[in-house]
Amino acid sequence: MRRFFTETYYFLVALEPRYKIVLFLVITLLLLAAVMVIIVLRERSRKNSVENRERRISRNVEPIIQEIVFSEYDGGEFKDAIKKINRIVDSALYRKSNMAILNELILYYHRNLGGEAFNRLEMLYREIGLKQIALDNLRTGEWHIKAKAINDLSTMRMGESLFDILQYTDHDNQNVRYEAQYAAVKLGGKKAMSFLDDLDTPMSEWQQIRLLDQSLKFEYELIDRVGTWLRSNNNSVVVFGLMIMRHLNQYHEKGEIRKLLYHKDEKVQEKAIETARELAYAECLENLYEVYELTKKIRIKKQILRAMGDLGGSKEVGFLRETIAREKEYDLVFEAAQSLKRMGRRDVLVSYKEQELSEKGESIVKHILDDRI
Amino acid sequence: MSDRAKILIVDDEPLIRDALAFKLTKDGYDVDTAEDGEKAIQKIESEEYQIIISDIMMPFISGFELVKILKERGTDAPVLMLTSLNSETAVLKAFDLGADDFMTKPFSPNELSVRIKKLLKNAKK
Repeated sequence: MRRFFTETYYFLVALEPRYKIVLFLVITLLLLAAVMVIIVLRERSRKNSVENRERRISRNVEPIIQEIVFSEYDGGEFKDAIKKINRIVDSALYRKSNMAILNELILYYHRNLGGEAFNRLEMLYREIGLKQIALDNLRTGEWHIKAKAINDLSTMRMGESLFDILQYTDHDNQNVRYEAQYAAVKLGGKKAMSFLDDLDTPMSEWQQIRLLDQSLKFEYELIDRVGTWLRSNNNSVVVFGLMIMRHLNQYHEKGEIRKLLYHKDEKVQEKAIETARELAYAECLENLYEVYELTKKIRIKKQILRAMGDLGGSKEVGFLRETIAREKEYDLVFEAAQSLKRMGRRDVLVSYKEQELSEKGESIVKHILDDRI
Repeated sequence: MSDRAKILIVDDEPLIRDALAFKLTKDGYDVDTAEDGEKAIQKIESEEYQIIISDIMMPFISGFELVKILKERGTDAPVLMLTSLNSETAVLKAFDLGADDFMTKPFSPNELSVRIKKLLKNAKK
């Protein structure tokens, strides 16, 4: 054996440097490959063991959950069933992950079942301690654990957790605060929407749509905080307030729209014009003329021309006619012509004298008058 | 042969399949399950069922295709579609293809029991 090593050593020493390099590389790569294989095998075995544990828990817990959900259990039987589940998930090493598996199982059933089964699952969620775990995760976990905890609590309709959730509606982490805002509206209804009064962080358009979707259930109720939101320093809250006004028919703060037409933020201004148009707020037409003169933004001007088409009368017909004749911006001429058509004033569109319109203006009017379009 | 009505549950979600089987067995029915449309057709060819409960979105053969095939073959068993799709288009398509009832998830197990009873009653007429 010793001779073998000695001979190998001398063989390696005697090798030319380029062969030494190649040999070194081959050995290094072989070692790396071996390490990789070991890592993959270990990871696979860990994953298998988690999956097996998951399957075992599901197999044992499922029939008990089904009994709870589909049977008329009395208090004593319910407690016994919870004890049984606790025995199955109890483990010195894996209790946390076992409870997570149980959590997913209950959430899954909850997503698919309704009626009385739905209520029993909520009771089970509370009694088995999953609500408490979610609350602990909310207080101490990383941002993604907090977000998941909020999501679980709102999915399981844990209304009593509303106060805890409301603490996170202006959290530094966007995912946490978005989940908290959504859960607040879902669990607490319009009263919980008071978090918007002092919200400092911006809300994305998608978040506004999510909240609006949750708020649609208050369609025939008066939301008295709308005015506060319209006067907020947070532009996204102002836009959301306008969306609520428009979609939930909140006419009582219509006067605020007039002020918002002059807002320095383009999105707010645009939304205010759109809301005025949707709510048929014709009293603001004079303000729209002013804003049209003051602004240089084409998008805003376009919105105003569109609003004039919907809200206006004979005065606006004259203004739109003038705009088509004088305006050089294609989009504005097009919008004005479309507004006239929407007002049913084809007669105005065909009334231009020769040379009154530019070549571009003529083409646009011709295009708008074409009934095939 | 038992007098109990035999129900086939077709759903690719094992948890839903098991939960439904548990509930309907408790209600006193003989329950059989299939995880997709293909397996359901094999079972229907060899067994007679009084009701078929089927999901819509399944691998290989969808619930819509399954209803179509069953109705083309002249299967008498009423079909109840139980799905997460809750669009009007899905409901209309299901009934157009010959489904007898339609329920969306999340569903109330008690409501399902009542609908099954009603379907069985109508089928006996």
